[in-house]
Amino acid sequence: MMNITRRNFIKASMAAAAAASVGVTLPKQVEAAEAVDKWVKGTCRFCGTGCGVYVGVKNGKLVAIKGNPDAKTNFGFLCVKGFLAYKCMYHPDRLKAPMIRQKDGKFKEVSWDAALNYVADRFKYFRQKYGKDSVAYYGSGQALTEETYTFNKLFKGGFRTNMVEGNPRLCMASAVAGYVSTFGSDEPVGSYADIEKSKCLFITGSNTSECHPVLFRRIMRHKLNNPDVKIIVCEPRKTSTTKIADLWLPVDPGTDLAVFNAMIKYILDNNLYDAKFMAENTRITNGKEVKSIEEYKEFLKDFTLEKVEKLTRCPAENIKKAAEWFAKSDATMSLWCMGLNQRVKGTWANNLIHNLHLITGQICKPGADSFSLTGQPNACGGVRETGALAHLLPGTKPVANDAWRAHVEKCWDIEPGTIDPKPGFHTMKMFDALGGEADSSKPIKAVLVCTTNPAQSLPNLHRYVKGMQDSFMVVLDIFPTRTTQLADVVLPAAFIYEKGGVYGCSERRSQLTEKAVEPVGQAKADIWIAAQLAKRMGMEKLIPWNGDDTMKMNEMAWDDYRNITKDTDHTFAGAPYSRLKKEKAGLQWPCPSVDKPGTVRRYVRGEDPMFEHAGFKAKFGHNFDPARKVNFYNDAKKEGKANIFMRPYAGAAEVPDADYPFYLTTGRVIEQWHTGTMTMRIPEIARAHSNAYVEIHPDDAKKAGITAGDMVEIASKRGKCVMPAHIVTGTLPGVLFVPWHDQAFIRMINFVCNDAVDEVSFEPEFKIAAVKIKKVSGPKNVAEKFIIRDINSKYS
Amino acid sequence: MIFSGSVVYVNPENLSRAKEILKFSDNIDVFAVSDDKTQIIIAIEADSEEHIQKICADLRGFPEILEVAHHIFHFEDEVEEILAGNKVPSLDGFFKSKKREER
Repeated sequence: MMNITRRNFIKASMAAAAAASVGVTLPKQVEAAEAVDKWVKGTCRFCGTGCGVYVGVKNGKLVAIKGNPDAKTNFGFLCVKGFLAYKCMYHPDRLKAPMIRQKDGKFKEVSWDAALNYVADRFKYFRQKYGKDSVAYYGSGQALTEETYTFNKLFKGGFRTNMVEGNPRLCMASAVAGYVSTFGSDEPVGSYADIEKSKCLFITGSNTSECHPVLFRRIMRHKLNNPDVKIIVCEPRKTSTTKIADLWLPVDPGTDLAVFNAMIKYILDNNLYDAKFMAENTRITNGKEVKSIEEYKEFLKDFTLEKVEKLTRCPAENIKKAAEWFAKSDATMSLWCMGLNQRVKGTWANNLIHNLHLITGQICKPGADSFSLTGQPNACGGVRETGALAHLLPGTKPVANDAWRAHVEKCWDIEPGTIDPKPGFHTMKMFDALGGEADSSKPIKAVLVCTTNPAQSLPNLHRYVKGMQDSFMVVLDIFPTRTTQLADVVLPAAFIYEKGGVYGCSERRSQLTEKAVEPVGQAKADIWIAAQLAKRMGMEKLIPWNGDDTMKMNEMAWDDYRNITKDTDHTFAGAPYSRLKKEKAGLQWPCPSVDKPGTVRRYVRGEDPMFEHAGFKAKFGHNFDPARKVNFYNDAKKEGKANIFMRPYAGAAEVPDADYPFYLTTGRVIEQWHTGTMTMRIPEIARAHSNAYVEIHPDDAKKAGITAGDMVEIASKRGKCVMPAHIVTGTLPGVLFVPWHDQAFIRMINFVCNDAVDEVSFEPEFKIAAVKIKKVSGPKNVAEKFIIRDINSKYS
Repeated sequence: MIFSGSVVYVNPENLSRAKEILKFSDNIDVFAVSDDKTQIIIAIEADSEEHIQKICADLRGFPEILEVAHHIFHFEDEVEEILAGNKVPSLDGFFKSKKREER
């Protein structure tokens, strides 16, 4: 039985922390004692919100976690995923030793030296025999910035290959392409702080309440405190986010481009646009020529409310009302996520949201912004900003840009011409090109997979499994996964609180997590693994941070990255570790010097420090017109303008037909994180949504003879799954929804999903597939919380 | 044992009733109320997170309670139990499933 005094102290300590978070003073008689030895500042490991946390350490173990009340992202609140992360850290399934697969197909534990020497030797062999592009890297928006930066540098500067990709290609690439094509630079203009200043919120392609619960809480409280704030949700499903909406725009999957164009047409036709803002700060273009407003109106002439209603099933009156609210509000903010990005026209969908803001002037002022939410905690900071994709270099600049390539080569102190100007393969092409030595049609023979689970998360999985199985695959992770089942070498990775480092969230904010505890078993930080591989391949000069102190290594890598980008709009020159350690809420780029506070809003004189940044102006030849308050200075035409792209309507790659009569869309639920490798090990989370299910409208269920709980087969041209039916009214008839976290083979929905990609961003169309359904049996209990525990288990 | 430091949100006119509800639970200690009478600071003591979630679900069932939000969790006892091998996070279903597959 626990000591009474200790219990009371702990309870008082908990109450004191909660009270401090919301600014309530406890009565003097409450004696609060610290229940931990120390609190260590960090960031939540899960979604892209970037919640600030403190983790409590006692006797070298993580024993508590609390929200950081000073964090500008979450103000001390946390959702269930962040609270329970400790169970991942101490779960008995943690990978604790390096392993090499033996001839009998079983893994054998080996020393780090043996594992690293083996990997380095194999990589050398493949590069020598099959060329520099035969060894690839596939990273993650969950790895730390320093880790991803190090692997990117090793592969592009050391291996001289651009076969470097990451899972943000699967979730954020269309947002990147949208921002870059419209504004000339990736990532949002504004910040989360615009939520509380907005008068109208346009939420589309995002079930914010489930996927970004802490941000949804901010939106909800803003709405409760200000009932006049209008909330519009544009979604095929009536999600939990629509509970606080004033207006729901239901649309068939993939048809929302028509709705956005109809809103633009209505705004232009009814003179609801901001002519002055448009004239000063934008250009209308078809991608080749500059066009007038009249020409844009002519281009949009077919997007009448009535025609668009027929095409999309979205009521004309709703579109009209949405357009009016959007344009007339004092400040409109749009928020979106995968629903727009994971599409074959994801880039266009992003462009059209930006267009709505640019024609109405609903940008570059408090409460008005076109804001893409990120799915992963470090997709922005780790992958987008460090340029760890096949076509990019640090600073989110193209590898094909001669001047930038030369700059990076100089910073990395490598010979001019070392970095290949030709982009590598995008993710789907990379995995399609992956195979064994016996298959001459597959040029990539080896891949290092870091902190991600492509054997579960790629769409149309059947097509890519053999390549992963036949090639030489090295996996860094904390748990056995579907991908480790196909791997040749498994290297146990440390958890974020066991190594520390920087995460950069959706709002350009990077926050430092300090190392709190030692890794379990023999697990090591990814940056250590990268540096040790570099050392074994004779590249220690390129990656000199090869000691054992991971925080020191992280700091060296961070400084290396900061040096490259110091004269760009991504600059963190003013954010050395010494400052990040002190800053309670991290910093938002651009942050060009230690005396600057970081930037809440870009492109606005007086708020964005790049207007005065001499190094930036000199390096990129910018001249800022002093008469202009707003300047989209990354404009390729050097006019300081954003592009309003005329985008025609285009639907999904695959639409329902007689054989496959349903739309299928997929997504996350609040309690689960991606493929569930971490969250499914947390019993309370696993119980909440232990298995995948298919949501079916009652009309469709009735026609198919399906009742609640029946086992239903969902089949596309690519694959099929079987799972229980949930009969729900919150979706349009003809539209099915399946969450994608379940690891059970029979319920892995990505076998069914489409791998067709956006021709600009190369992001696959996870969100839309044509499928058919049939009842296969009555209800069965499949709440088995299936996870991969046995490292030697088969991929089946 | 798991402890949480949490905030119960109420409308000011429901504060007294909400405090009565909270007082009724053996697992909850009330520590303070905000000046605007909308936030009640509590500590919850429970056997597991699942237990805490049940307590909160029960609280949310009262119309006088708008929301229960957590700011801090203390789970030292849980960690000790896991590391000592006395408490493995429940994965029973997995083994059953594997056995079924093997059959």
